[in-house]
Amino acid sequence: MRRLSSSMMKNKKVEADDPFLPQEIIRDILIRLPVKPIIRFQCVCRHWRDLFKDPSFIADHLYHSNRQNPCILFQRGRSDDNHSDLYSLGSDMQVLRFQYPPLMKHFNHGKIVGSSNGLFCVQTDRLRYSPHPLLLWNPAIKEVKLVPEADLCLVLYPFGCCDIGFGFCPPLNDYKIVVTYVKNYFEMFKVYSLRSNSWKEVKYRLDARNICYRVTVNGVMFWWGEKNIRKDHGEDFEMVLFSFDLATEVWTVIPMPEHHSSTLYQNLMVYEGKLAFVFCTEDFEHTSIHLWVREEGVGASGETWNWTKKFTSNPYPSSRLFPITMWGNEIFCRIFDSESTNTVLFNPTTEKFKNLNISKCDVWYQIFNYVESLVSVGGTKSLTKFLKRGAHLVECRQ
Amino acid sequence: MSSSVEAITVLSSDGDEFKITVSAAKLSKPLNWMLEDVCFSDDCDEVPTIEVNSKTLVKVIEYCEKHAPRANSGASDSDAEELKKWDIEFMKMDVKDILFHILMAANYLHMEGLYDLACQTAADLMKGMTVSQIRKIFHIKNDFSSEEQEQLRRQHPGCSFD
Repeated sequence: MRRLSSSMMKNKKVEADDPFLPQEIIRDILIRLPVKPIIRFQCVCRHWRDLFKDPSFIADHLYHSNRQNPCILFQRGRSDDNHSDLYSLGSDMQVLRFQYPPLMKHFNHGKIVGSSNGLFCVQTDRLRYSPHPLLLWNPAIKEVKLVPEADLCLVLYPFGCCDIGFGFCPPLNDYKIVVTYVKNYFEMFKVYSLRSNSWKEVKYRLDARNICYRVTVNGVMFWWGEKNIRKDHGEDFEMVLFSFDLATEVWTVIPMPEHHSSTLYQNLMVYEGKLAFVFCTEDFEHTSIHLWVREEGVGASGETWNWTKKFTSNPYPSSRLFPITMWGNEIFCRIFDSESTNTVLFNPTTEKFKNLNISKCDVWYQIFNYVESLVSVGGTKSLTKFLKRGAHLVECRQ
Repeated sequence: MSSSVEAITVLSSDGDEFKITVSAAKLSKPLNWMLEDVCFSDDCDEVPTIEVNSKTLVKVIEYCEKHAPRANSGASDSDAEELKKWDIEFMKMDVKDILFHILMAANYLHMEGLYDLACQTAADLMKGMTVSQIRKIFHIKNDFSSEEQEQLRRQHPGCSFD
């Protein structure tokens, strides 16, 4: 009896000093880890190795990564044979240099054209040979995938008349690339699905020109474009917003909110999980930012959503302030003054502007939102193998 | 519910008595229910027991008392900054000695803020650990076959099982 009680005491002591955490608590810790230690900890045990590949774990990890460390990626504008002019800015305000995957050396140029959940869509360019393959790339887990050829006229319009959108479709749990291009004066669309790893043509006549991709919100892509509003054979173009539902693959024209006629600049962003229309007005060398959000709800003419004004910022003492994107809960803005360029953050809650001193990333950089993720592009991790394939690809074309 | 009660007494799993203010107890759903039960009953002879050891309960109550004013009224941004700094200081603790107990207590007491903070602290501490240190703190055995180890090594050159 005495022995039993002493062993019970001992057990209790062990439990008290050296607790066994339940699996669900361990999982809640693991989803808060950055990608690098997660890759290292695959070697802990079979259960962890399999857990890190589980889609629900990957989704929960992405949610926390977005909350914990949303990043801004800077890409220098077209600069031939410089493949590594990429920088990321994390919430710790550290600017890190980013490396393109080694595969890129087989191409003259790589240009990020879209970003979603830690994946980049990269358009490559080999001047003499067609076509211009697209890559899907997750830098955090070092995965690259060559997108099958779309059989498009991208070679004729490498960086101009066609535009590429890249976004995530939650209902299908799929990533899609949408390419708009012009054929015989008609705009055409091709849609690539990562899940099916194939392209298809979506026929729809928008009767518009200069269509360019802006953002994807909850599986719906938003594009700007100029639509011909004349019913007869004449031409009269007006700026409109197009939505493209990635699940149903249907285009819709969306009216813009009624805004100030003296708008200097306008942009689309994702604000609190909704599409936001942001524009600027100027008054005596000061700029104010206005933000409207597209909200669900029945509007006056029976539509299922409407534009709601969220806020107008205090005037900022520059006439050249450009809101670029949301970073966490703040608006990332650039100032292009004649003597200097600068980056400021506007916080809608405190209504304050804050200066960011990031001298490395000047005016010539293009900006993308980026977050570290475990999302797989289904590509190969073995870069040597991939490089061989890449080299083979080049050889075949020559 | 009587509004005159400002603090309640609870017992830890070790049998020690602790006082917790009503506003602080509201941060935990089970404590809040307990509070309502205690206040409804006329004879409060029976002191409720919380299945958390004394060492951990001291920390949990300290967290609740600090966070209660903000949770109950909302606070300015300077307060939020101050509270963030306080959280960082508060979380400077040993993983096995106390942090894991706090995690279990926060989970058991349905305290979202503390649970999130403790999970993030544990994750931050894990970043600097080796694979064998991780196995030790989580009581995990290396169950890979030599073939599986070889496969992982091929996929991730330089990966370590120690």
